[in-house]
Amino acid sequence: MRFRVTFQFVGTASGFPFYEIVYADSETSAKQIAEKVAKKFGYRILKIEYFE
Amino acid sequence: MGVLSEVAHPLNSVWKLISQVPLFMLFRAVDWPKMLPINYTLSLLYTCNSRCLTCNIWTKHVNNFSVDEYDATFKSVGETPFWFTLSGGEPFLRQDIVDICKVIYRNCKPGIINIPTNASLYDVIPSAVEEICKYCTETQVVINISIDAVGTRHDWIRGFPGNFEKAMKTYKHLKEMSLPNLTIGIHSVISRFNLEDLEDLVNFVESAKPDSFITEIAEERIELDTVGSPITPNLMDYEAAIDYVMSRIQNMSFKKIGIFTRFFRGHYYELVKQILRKREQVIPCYAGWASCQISPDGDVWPCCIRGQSIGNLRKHNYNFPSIWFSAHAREIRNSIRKKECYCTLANAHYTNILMNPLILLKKVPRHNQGYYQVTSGPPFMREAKFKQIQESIMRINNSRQEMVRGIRFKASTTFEADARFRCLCGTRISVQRGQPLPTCIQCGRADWWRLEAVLE
Repeated sequence: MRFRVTFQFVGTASGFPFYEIVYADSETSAKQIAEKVAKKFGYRILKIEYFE
Repeated sequence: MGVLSEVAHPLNSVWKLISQVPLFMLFRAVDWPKMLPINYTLSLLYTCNSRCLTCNIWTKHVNNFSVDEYDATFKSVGETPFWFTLSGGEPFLRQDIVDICKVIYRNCKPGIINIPTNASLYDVIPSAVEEICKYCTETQVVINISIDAVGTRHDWIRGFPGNFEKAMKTYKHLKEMSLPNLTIGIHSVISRFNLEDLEDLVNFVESAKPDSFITEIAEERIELDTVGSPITPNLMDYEAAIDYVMSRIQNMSFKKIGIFTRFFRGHYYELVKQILRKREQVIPCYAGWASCQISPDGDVWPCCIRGQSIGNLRKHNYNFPSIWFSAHAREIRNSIRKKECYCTLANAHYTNILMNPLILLKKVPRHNQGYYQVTSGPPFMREAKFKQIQESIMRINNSRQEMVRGIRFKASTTFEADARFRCLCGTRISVQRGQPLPTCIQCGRADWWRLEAVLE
């Protein structure tokens, strides 16, 4: 399943949202992956939505 | 008298510029009077012969603007610009750089044309610079040679064996020309890769005696495709580094435009420290009002940090004002005004400092010479930090090797860990372990250029 995660930079170019696609088998797994990405790259998660 | 005569031409424009400050303040506050920018950064091309650890711009390919297209664009802005920065990629890889400068001069008569370069093309640059200086007689031409460390350390950071030696050849040739409207500067990017090289670097600058010496912090930029890369030093390291550099350069003597640059830079470095500490705009940003950037294919951006296009010149018949005063431009300006972003971009901060003149009244603290520590904190922290830097270097080197060898991550492959991938078009995706790698949703490529991270 595809999920669209909207992130926001908290680094030097903060405040400006962008999205990425996460491929996972459930929304919970997508959320876990998004959290790992956010932690590793210094982003903030704004929303996670199912993306057809 | 000597100094004044050297900078006389730009000074004429400076008075004109200062008289515009209240107008720009009004423009930012109430969107009236409509003002065109005074500070233009033209990214002439993305192509580069360096492979810097702090920049991935060379991976991009676009259809560059031609001289005629620049001519049509600058006819539409008249003599409003004061400062042009011609950046890249490597600007001197464009064989028509002299013609571009002539077009700029003919249409705009700017006070300053600034060209940062890796200076590797030692057989091309001196003759091109001479021709530019002889044509643009009423403009100060600033050639900023990028030097991040000394000798092979510089070559390593720049990913270009022999770059330092070639840059020195260019520097020597330029110095020998001694043209009245030419300022030769050295420009260093302070990143996590050269914190330990600063002492050698400043010693080198002291002996080379450039007309100016400036440093800039390595930033994560949309334009350079470095967002998410571990290149920016942390606050403690940057403060220690910049205090050290300041303590050394306050005793050096600079010439020509370098005298003014040092004055502005002192305030700029203090601002950077405050911005990194507070993580917000410390003084109102005028990117989008007084400064802008034009990408090689004609996109107009308020700045390269956000890299957000407010319109393409090709689609607007090369009419810059029609883009600059559009509703979309106003939207982006509103976002900047609301402080929805912050950055330490030096070029934009020059205009920001000029537009906030009260800041110039503050005294820049003098720094004691001789104290410099790469990382503060107890030894175990330093060790951890060193390991972290080493890992990030290894990661970057590995992905380069993969690219050189042509190893790609094919679609439909599965992995035993959650991972994040990057496509050559810039799209990033994350995939759960066991899930097959899809094709790129943006460009449809079937192989992924880079494994960005294993998500543990």
